[in-house]
Amino acid sequence: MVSVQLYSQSSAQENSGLQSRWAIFSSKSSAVLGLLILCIIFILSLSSLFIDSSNTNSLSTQLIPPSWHEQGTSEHLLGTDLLGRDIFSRLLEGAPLTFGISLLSVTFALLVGVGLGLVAAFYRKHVQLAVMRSMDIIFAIPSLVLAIIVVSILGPGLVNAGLAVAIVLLPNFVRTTISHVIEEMNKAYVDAAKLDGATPSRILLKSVFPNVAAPLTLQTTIALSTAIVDIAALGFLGLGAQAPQPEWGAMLAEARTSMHIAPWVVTLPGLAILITVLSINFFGDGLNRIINNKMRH
Amino acid sequence: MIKLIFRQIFFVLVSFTGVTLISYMVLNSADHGANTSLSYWQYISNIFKGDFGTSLVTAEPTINSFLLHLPASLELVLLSSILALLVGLPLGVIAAKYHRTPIDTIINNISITAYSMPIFWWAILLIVYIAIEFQLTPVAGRLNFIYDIEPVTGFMLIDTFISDQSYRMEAFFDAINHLILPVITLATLPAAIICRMTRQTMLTTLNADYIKTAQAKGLNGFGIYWIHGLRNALIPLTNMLGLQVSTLMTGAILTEYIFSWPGIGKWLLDALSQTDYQALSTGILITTSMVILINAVIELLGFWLNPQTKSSKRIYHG
Repeated sequence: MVSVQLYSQSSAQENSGLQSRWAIFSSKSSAVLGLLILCIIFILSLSSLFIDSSNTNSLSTQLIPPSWHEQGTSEHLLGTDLLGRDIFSRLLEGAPLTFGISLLSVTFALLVGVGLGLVAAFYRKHVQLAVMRSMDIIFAIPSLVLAIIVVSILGPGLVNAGLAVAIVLLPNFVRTTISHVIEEMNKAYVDAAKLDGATPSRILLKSVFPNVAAPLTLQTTIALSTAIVDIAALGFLGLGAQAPQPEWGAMLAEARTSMHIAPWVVTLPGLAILITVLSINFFGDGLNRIINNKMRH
Repeated sequence: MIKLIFRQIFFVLVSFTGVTLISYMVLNSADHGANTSLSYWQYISNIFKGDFGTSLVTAEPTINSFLLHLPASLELVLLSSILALLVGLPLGVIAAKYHRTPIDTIINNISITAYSMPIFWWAILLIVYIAIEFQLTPVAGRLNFIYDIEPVTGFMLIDTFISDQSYRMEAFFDAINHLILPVITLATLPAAIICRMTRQTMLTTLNADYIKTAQAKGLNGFGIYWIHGLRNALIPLTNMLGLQVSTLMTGAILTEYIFSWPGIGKWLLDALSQTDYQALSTGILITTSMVILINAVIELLGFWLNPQTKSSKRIYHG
């Protein structure tokens, strides 16, 4: 639930080839590790959509500790919860909910935000002022209060939570787009395009936009980590995903009732969230190095 | 500067109008409560008279219950901000001073982990391992029920301290004990952000020419890092700190929910679960207005501290 830009942003100007970019990215092992874990999570959440896990609750398998524990069994790798459901398979089922819905809200915010930003930067003056000011208002509302507003109007649920998160993320995309587009517009290559007789919309889309793509990519990774924490937080508060759904935040909320006797039930879903968000941030750090490095040369 | 102040006042007024529209919408989303036949203009004029509506659940004026819950939140947020600054700022300076050494790497990894931590999970870990396993602190609440402290200011630390009961010191330390876990929970994320921002701005500042001049003049490490460096790094920091108000508010709602802390955040969530739309709309209106006002003041303060930001702001404000 952070609405701050952690990484300083800059625009990419020269095209120095994939190889050198990879060299910069992989110079930090944490960035590669982050990318690797992200790929694994992505594949797992895709595959769990197609695998039918028969995860029934039974009282005979109630609260079995993880397999490395003395009382654990190899049958349940990460143990079971209060209702006897296997935690590992529930985490897998939850991945497309937490990770997938976050991805969807980020995509939505990205598309709408860039669109609004381009329109504002294209028309400038009153249009820009109107867009900026309405974004400033959304930005000023604390993200969880905004989510409470959305939920109180539309009702709780995973989809509404996703919508709330998308609205929270919107101002960042609009701001990034506007400020970078305007910065680029003042550069010489835009003047060159103008002299060549290109129309304003062509300049905006064909010349300027590709140079704004780098800071937007960075903004997207930041937004994704925010979205995951937010979606899980809303699930945890009971405003997002509802109880039997294995969304990681909702799982955590369910597990709270048994945290006194079975700490692993609350530890594991949170760990899944932490690992996912951490990998995204490490990946973002690597991306940031590429972009900053290009600025220096 | 005068022009900037007027611009800021205008923005605050526009924002307030936007926020009242939203809170009015929330009020009217209660389709079962036939109480709200208020028009928007009546709603606004009532607010100007100080009438924010009456809760259908508690039959109290909503503004009264808001004010009743406010001190608990302020106590939590203020103490957490202080802790976050005390931890984040020095760590950021140290990381910048030892740039590209293992110390920098360690601080960086800790801060990125803290930054990625879902705070509701962090709170639960603290409860499970500190409050339940080792029983070092209480699990939830503000004060043990055995103490009967009269609320004067609403700030538990002050109320216990000025109380005339014989057990006032015990109650005071009990209140501190209750504060430890919530404050750690809420301070973690801002501390990580402050640490990262300080490191970043310090690195930029330390590369500036006047620092090199100071080094050339033979100034020692302490003078450079803590006096020249930090003082100038603080200027961009004040601008970014404004963003933390929102972050703290969101964090406070989650923290209060987990620790059953009777503040604004828990009050809002309770109002939502009880479908008390009167209380909900009042809460949304006041908290959001507060955040907008604080941000506006901080932004003006930033302009006043550093007129340079004016030109950079103009880029996207048109």
